[in-house]
Amino acid sequence: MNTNIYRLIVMLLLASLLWGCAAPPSPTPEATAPPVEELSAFDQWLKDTKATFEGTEIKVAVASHPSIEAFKKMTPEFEEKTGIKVAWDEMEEGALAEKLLIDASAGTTSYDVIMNCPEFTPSLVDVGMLESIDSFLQNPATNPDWFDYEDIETAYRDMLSYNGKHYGVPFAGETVFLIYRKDIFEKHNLNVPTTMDELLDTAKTIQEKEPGMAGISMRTRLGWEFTYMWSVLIFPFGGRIVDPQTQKAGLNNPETLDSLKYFIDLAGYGPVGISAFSFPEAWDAFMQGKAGMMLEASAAAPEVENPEKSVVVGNVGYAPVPAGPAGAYSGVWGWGFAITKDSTKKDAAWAFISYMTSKEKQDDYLANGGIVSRVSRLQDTEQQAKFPYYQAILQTLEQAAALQEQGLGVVLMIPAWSQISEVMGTEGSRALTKEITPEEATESMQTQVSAILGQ
Amino acid sequence: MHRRNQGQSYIPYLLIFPAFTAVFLIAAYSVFWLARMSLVDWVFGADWARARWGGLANYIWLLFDPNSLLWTSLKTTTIYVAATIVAEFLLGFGLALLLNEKIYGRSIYTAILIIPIVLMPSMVGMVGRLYFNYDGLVNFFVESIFHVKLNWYGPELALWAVILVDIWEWTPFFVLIMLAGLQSLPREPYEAAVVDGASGFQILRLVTIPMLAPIILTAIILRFMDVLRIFDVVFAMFGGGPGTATTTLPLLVYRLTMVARNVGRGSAVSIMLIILIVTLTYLLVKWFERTKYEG
Repeated sequence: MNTNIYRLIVMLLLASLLWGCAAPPSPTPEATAPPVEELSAFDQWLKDTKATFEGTEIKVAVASHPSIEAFKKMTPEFEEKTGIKVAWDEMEEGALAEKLLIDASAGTTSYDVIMNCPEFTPSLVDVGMLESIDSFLQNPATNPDWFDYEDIETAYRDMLSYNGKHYGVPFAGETVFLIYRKDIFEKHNLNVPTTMDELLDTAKTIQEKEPGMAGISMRTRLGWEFTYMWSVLIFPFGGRIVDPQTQKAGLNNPETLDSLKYFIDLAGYGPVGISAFSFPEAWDAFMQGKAGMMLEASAAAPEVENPEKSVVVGNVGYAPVPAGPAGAYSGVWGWGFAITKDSTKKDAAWAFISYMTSKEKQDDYLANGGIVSRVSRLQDTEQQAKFPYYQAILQTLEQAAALQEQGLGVVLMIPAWSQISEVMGTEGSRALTKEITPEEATESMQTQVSAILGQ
Repeated sequence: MHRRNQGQSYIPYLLIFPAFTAVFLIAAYSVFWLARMSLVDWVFGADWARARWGGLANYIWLLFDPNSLLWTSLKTTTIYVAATIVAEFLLGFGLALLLNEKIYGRSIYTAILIIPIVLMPSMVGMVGRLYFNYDGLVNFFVESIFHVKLNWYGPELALWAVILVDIWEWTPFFVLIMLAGLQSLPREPYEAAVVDGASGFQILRLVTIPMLAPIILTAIILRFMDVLRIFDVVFAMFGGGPGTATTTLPLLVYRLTMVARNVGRGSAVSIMLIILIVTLTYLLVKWFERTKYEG
């Protein structure tokens, strides 16, 4: 009896299997032959790339960054479609700089692609570690429409160039702008500051009228962070770090001194402890509603708009940097991918870079947490409605481009920049903490920077 | 007896030779290079071929140039070393005495005490930075007791914030060493002291401390050499700032070498730091041996 039931079940199962084999879903002769459809240029490229580079492995040195998280999420698909294997070597930002410098003094590197930023470029190019990407950009085969290099913001494209050549495709740019609390501004009938004087007054008003709230939050920590934020203020005041015409240090110019004094005054309306603030503390103060404004990198905006981290979501406005006596300028900074000179797989490396930073893959990249760097995206009205800071980023990038046109920038594109930046950041921080006066600080900077420049 | 020993005396030297050579060569090679680098003007990352001989220029700049931060950092380092060692020793000794009593769950307390030492220093620094924030945990306690909030991030208190973290992290080191020392002390002198009618304080002063002196000094010397090289916690908390408030000598070496990329000046400070550590440690050991033989 039992065995019969089993037999029945087995037979039914077999029958169902056979049925499945025998009955393919309505096969018509026309449908089985795939429609003769032309592959898109991108798909064709993927196919060709796979044919050429299948099995190639490239080594990529990167710093920890949200954009890298996004690229890592895109890597499995890239590896599958192009056959190129990616070995990520991720480290902390400072460690990356040190690693690259050590490789540079050894004269050789094992990486094919490195994550490059403005500060790295001149010294790495000078020791012959980086390959210019210009030959790839000029060749239509390696600069196709789906990649669309021209779509990357001009100010970003030029930040990784040195001596007229480009050394990297930027994928995560930032500019410094003003972030403010719309609700607080309305409450006290304040206008968005358009001049440096107004900015100082607004910070003062907020500090006085809003109990428990500081006027403005910024990063002012000893070292490059002090230099970065102060540099943004130097040019609106007409100051100079190094004069592009004479190549002489301009740190003790009266205008530069004014900008330092202004920066110190402005920090006076900052949260308690601002003189030790690195960017996380600066952002945190604003996101926790403890500051009415923030002069910060645009990279802060996605965090400020993140309801899990920020209590001020929905009450935040964005504006370009207020104008100083000499005009309105901002800085630009960011990361890009560069190819090393030692790499024996430069073409595969370029395939990786152009895929990851392409217009085609932009949506993937942004959806995974990447940072917007392309004009098409920033100008898209639909996206602008979704991301309230896009408009302000575009305006601020114009300020940054205006600075670049004069051969200036918040990062000097010379190998000695990191030394100069350290001098500015140290002496400036000492002036901020009243260890020395601003006059003493700028004089000391002038002496030390002139010595660095060999003058 | 004497003659037989002489015949074998080369054996210990022979046995120690490989290890000694390896250690000596590695150390000597690094110090030699460090000394050589301290005499040149070389930007980190550039070709070594581009290094220019500068003689003692780096030392002279560091010692006499008004823009040099050497003397400020030396002052900061002195405050740091003195404050941490004194506080850690006193607290550590006190806790060791307490734990030496027959208290319930002593092994649990000892185990808990080890935690700060085994934590990653850079993590301790990051956590310290959070706790000493104006709205952080430390100020929560300060406010509930004294009804004021302190600006630990300011130039006046930043160094003390780092010192407090160091005390928290390294007091257990003193506790553990001195507790082990206390437990190995012989019972007889105590019994004799009790029979003679000594008070508790007298026992501590006249029996415990003299007998424990070698252990105390060993702990202080070890910690002293270590604290002069302190880097990670300070770096993670304030990176030497604000201003120069927490720029100790090792921080100065780092900033000069890796950030300002002036390898010559950085190496020169390193060499001076090595000389300082060796000299002071030598003096401490001398003093230690004198106390040992006198005691």
